[in-house]
Amino acid sequence: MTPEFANPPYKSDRAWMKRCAQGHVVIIDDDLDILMAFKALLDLEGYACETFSSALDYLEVLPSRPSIWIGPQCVLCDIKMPLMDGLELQRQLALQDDVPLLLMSGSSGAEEAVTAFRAGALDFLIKPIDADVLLTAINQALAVSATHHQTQVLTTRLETLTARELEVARRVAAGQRNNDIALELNIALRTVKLYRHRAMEKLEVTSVAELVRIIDACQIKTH
Amino acid sequence: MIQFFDPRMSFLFTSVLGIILSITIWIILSNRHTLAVHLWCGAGLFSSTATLLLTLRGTVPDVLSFSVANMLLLISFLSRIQSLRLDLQTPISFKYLAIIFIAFFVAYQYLYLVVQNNLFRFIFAMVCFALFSSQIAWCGWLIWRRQGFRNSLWITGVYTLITLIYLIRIFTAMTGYSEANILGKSFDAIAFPIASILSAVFGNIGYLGVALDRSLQITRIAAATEARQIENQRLSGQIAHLDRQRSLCLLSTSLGHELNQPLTAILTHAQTVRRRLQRGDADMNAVFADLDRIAHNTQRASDIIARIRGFIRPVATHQAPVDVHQLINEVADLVAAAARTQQVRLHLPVCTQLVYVSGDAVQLSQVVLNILQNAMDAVTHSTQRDIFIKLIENDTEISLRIQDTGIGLTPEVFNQVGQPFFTTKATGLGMGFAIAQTITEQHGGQLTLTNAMPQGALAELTLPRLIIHSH
Repeated sequence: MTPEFANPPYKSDRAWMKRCAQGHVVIIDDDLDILMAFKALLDLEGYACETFSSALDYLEVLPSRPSIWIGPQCVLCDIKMPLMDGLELQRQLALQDDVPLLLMSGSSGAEEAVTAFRAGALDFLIKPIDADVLLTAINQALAVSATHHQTQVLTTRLETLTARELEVARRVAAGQRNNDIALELNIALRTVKLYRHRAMEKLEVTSVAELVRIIDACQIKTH
Repeated sequence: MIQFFDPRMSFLFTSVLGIILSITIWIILSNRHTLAVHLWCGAGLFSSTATLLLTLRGTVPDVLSFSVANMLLLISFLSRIQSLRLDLQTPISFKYLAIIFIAFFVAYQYLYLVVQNNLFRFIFAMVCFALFSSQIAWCGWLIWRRQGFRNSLWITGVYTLITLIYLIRIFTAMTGYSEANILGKSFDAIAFPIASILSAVFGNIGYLGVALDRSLQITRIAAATEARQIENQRLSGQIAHLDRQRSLCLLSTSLGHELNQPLTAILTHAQTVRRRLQRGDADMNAVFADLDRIAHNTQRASDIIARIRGFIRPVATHQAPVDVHQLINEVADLVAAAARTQQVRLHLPVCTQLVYVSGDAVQLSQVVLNILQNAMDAVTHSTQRDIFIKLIENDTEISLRIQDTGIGLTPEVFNQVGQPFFTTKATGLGMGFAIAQTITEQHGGQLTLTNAMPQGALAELTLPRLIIHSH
């Protein structure tokens, strides 16, 4: 990589964090000119953009990244590259991380597209890519990433609930009244109220509607 | 009548005529001086000199008019025979000629100096010359039969006549009807100089006719050969051109992909600039940077197109010094995209000094491209996909070795590679390597394909090196 094109020096800056909050995009392509072009566009659009000229380079730095959430992220990768192609990266990423992947290619081969989608790519873009198309695809990928993160957070919170609290919360979300729950579970109404209060506290919700949304999002299996 | 005839005068006349005719023919055939022509005309001079010496018998020392004259006659006969045999492409070996010459010389000198029998010596010389004359007549006949030159029948005619006269002279001399002297005045002695004159005139003219016919035929054949060569060259040029186009077709997918890269960059930078400017508070440095990138990528796309266009230049070849490293790099650029797609690593030679060959850059790059494409096809199914290109040069030639890590050649393939229409590929025509070999040979080089150690195939392209002296 040329010096002018080194990855951003403002990584630890507030500016970088602000960009990350909007979206962190990793571009991988063996063509330097392509990397520079996409980076120019994404920098302008306010994203935190990192570029790698090979999938191996990216996989190398990946373990050293802090695992804390800094914002939604996605990977934009060329499908045909020396050493490791986009599909192989997809397999490797699935093992290590759960970042949405966008694959791009210079040719519109139907076979490639099918392979890409089957491998789990979120979208398949054909070069040259229109800026609007690219940004839309990236935004969609970032949204997927955000939702995914949200689900993960909520799942973590749900895991802090005791079995009883979870049971009560599930029944509340299903629309049962406190009295019915007390009867069915054969516990005192006071106890039901206590469990319900604790569950809502742990899940950081203030209304029943929010509780319903979380339970739905995490798709807690009914026993 | 016999009383009025002077054999000396007629021999003198023959001698002068022989000299004039020989020199005349030699001059006429000056644009086609082969050894055969030299021998024939030389023989004329020898025999004329011999006749002159015979004529002067009595006035010059005997050694000249007997021994030397007969040796000169022998040389002239042998020269004529050898001349005709050269034209027939069945020359007598020099050793054999020398043996005949020495044998004749020894026998003649023995009869002349030791035996001192005039009749024996005369008959011996006559028998030998009759044999040689018949041999000349026979060669003339063969020239007509084998090569179809009718004029050679003149030679056959006059030398048959001379053979007959020799035989008659032998007969009359042996029976004592006439004296054993070439300058005798008997009836058959008169026939001898007349036959000599006839042989000098018609023999030489016949030979001239054959030589002229032959020269015409050679010109005609040469013209036909040249026409065929030009046609062949034109056709092989066209085939090579088609092969180049085919090679490019095979590369077109990867070249299209390669062209797509700068175009993608151009589009994105252009749209980025538009977005920057739309916002109103554009960072002008960033705008300039985008515009610079657009210019750079346009140049890159243009280079790719120029590379393709350079490769499909029309048929006409032109010889010029070709920088071998530049040639390798250009072809490597051409296949780089395909190599990337197929995940093949190309290892190019390091340029330590400028190395040149003489030839047509386009055609030579076609050869290298063919080898590289073969190598890339060979490693498709290998886990290790490397192609090593090495350049070895010495003072007289350069050797380009291209080795792959494929499975190499099976014995069956090994025997047939380079033959037209032999191919191991489902889509191949089987002409590529044959064309590459033809082009290489036209450049005075060699292209071979062998198995390499420890694995893979090794193509070796050898070309004469062109030394360019810097001024």
